[in-house]
Amino acid sequence: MKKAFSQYYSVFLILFVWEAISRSGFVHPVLLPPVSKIVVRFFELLFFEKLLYHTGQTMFRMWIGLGLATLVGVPLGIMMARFAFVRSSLEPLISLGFPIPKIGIYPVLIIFFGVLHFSKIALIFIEALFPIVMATFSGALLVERKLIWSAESMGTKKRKILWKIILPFSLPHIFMGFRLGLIVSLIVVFLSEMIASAEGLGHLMMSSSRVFRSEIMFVAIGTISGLGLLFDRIFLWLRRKALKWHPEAALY
Amino acid sequence: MLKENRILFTVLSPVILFVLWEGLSRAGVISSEILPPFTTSLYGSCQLVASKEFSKHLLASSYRWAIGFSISLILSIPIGIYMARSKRLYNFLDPVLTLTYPVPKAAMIPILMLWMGAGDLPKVTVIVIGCFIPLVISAYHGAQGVETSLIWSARAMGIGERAVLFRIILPASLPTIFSGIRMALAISLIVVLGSEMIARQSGLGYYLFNSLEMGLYEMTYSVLIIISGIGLFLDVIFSLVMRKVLIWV
Repeated sequence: MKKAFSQYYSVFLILFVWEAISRSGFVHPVLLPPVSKIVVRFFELLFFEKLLYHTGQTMFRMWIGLGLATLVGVPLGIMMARFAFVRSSLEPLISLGFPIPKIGIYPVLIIFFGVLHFSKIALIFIEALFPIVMATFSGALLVERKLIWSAESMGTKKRKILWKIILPFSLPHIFMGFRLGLIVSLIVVFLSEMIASAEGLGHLMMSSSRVFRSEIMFVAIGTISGLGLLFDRIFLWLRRKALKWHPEAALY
Repeated sequence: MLKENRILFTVLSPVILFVLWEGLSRAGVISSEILPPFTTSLYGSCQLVASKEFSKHLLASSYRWAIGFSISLILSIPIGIYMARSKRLYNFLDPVLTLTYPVPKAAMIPILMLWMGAGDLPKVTVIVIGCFIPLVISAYHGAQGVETSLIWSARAMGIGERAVLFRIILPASLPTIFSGIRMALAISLIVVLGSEMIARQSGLGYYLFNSLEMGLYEMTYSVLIIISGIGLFLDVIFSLVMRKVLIWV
């Protein structure tokens, strides 16, 4: 406990200064509501209003999009590393698509899928796909040829090589790509909800900003950031567990 | 696979994509109201670039982006390098950065507008904030990775602190800093467009979303083509600069 406090002393300091400034009446409480009030408001919204519903909507969109991107991206990345024609046909598309700000595609996705779930899921899918494919590809490319060759020479079946060698050995990279995709999809789901939505945390932020209920704005952005932090921590823990066997396990 | 084949595939796949777009729309498989042909959209982009109304918004976005991105570069790289040199600053900033990095920065635009009004200031600030973390972290890692023996031997030869900074630490951390800049570049574009789509006043993001809301779908595609072009253009410029600067790597 004491260790955590001294490690995060700067965070506590900032929160304390924030609280002090807004309590002192130096700035208007609408501009900077005190931290304590935001926390209280968070629980009020959670228990008596629809915060849980909005969070659920946001999480539903995010995880479907991210899940689809993983399901498509990992096999695609591995195929790119294994088959030369897949690689040479997808590489230009990826290097063309990577620098394009994908949020710009959102209006077009709205044209196709409407403003409900689908356009947002599609946007998250596209955003998360790029880091996942690229990371898987570079990971699968780095799997030592010798390992594959020796397995082949011992008569191991193609499928087994995939599951027992290529996939496990590219796992560290896949995890890295997934982590990037996780953060990106959190950001994008929130933005897309702020731009066009009738529910979700982003919508909560937008609707409260229109009526200057700044406490709720801070609750919304705090909730999505807290969830991001939570998922990231869970993910890092899972990765440590999953990569225990890895020769460079100490790195993870 | 033969080399010629590889080149063929490389050229082929983007071409197929555009032909598919053109064909699906022309053949009426997808209504041309929803998906106007590629050539029409491209023509529309050319017209847009030539028009005064659009250039105004393009200029507004680029101007805010350029200022925000430069301020972020000037601010965060020294901070990152200093973080590697000073344990105290590291202990102060590191927990703050870890806790704030999942915050969607572009989403802070309503809060910033509450504080700074409706002008350019909040829009520039949000870009500065958005690029801050990747730049600081990359500069920190870059400076952290500099071999201490290099610094020691420089000191042993009587080189001053400033020369150590500019002739050893900075050049040695540049490769890492550049990968951070590349990430910041991608993030800055998301932040610019995202914040303009949220706070609809001016700029490319505003123009893009406005065309959607007015039902001018053709224009939406044209603006999208221009935005993609800008993204690619910046990426190419970045690679060129990186190659020039990191010639010794």
